Amino acid sequence: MNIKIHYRGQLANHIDSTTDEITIASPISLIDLLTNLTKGKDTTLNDFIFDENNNFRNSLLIAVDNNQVIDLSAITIDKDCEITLFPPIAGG
Amino acid sequence: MLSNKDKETYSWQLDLPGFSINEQAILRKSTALVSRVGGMGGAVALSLAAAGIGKIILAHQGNLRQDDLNRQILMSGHSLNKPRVDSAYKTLKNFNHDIDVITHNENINVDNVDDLLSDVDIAFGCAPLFKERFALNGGCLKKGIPLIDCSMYAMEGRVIPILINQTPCLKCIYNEPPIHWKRKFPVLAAVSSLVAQIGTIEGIKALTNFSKPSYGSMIYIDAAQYKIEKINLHAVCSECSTNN
Repeated sequence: MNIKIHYRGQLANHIDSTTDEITIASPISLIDLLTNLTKGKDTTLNDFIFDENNNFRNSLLIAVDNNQVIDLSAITIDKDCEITLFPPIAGG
Repeated sequence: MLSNKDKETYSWQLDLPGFSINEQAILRKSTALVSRVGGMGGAVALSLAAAGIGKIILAHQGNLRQDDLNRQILMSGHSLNKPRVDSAYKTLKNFNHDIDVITHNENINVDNVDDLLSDVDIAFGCAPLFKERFALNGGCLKKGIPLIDCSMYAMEGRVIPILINQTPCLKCIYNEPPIHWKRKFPVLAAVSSLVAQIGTIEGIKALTNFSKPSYGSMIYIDAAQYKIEKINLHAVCSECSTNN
């Protein structure tokens, strides 16, 4: 399965990247996918997604195929998809 | 109803599908609150004035600075160190003398939001601080006023039309400011204005119903790739539940 991950707003600036592409062999929960994604990367990405207790941050909107995800642990990624991480922005 | 002058002024938009004298009359009777008149709020206010809204209430504290002038299109280089809302008032009234413009040299906060929303039909959130956006969100939920939240960062913009009982609110989407957040944001006036125009379109739809607003969605604008997408929103937060 091919998964495309988009980084938006200040997150893209902080990690100096707008997109990642990964391939997974078998279905995986979204929370595990994101945890794996942060491994081997600068801690900033992890900071944006998870707090110091490793709980999902309420300040991040995550969408899978343009649908807001409410419960990361309830979502299983089992087909090609696009995941987008939207930290809030306030520029006017 | 509309005066003959109004009918002439707005004759080109009266040809829009679904937009008749009735919709124009609704706009004429409507009042919009615009939170901040910077790069985005200024463009929202100007387009609302062009569309013929009846009254615009502007809330923005502080004086014009040199580094505002790359984006704050209602301002003038002659008005440095003077209240931004005064410049905004002059520009809007010069453009459309028939609208009412009320100015407040203060930003939205939890203490003044109820007063500022008195007799308002729609609000536009264009502030650079989350606490102002959340205060406006809370006030609009409490009073059942549609809120069009418009934001941008670099080449990206987001517009979220919010209406209690029908859509998630701002707190459903972002319950707190992001980590590593910086007050200063990269901004090109053209991007602010682009996002503002989409926000204004949503606002006019919400007021007149001449076309269906994108309630329940976040409109995402990518000006680098020229892409616009809708993100379907689903959440319900405690603030929504409290006010529902």
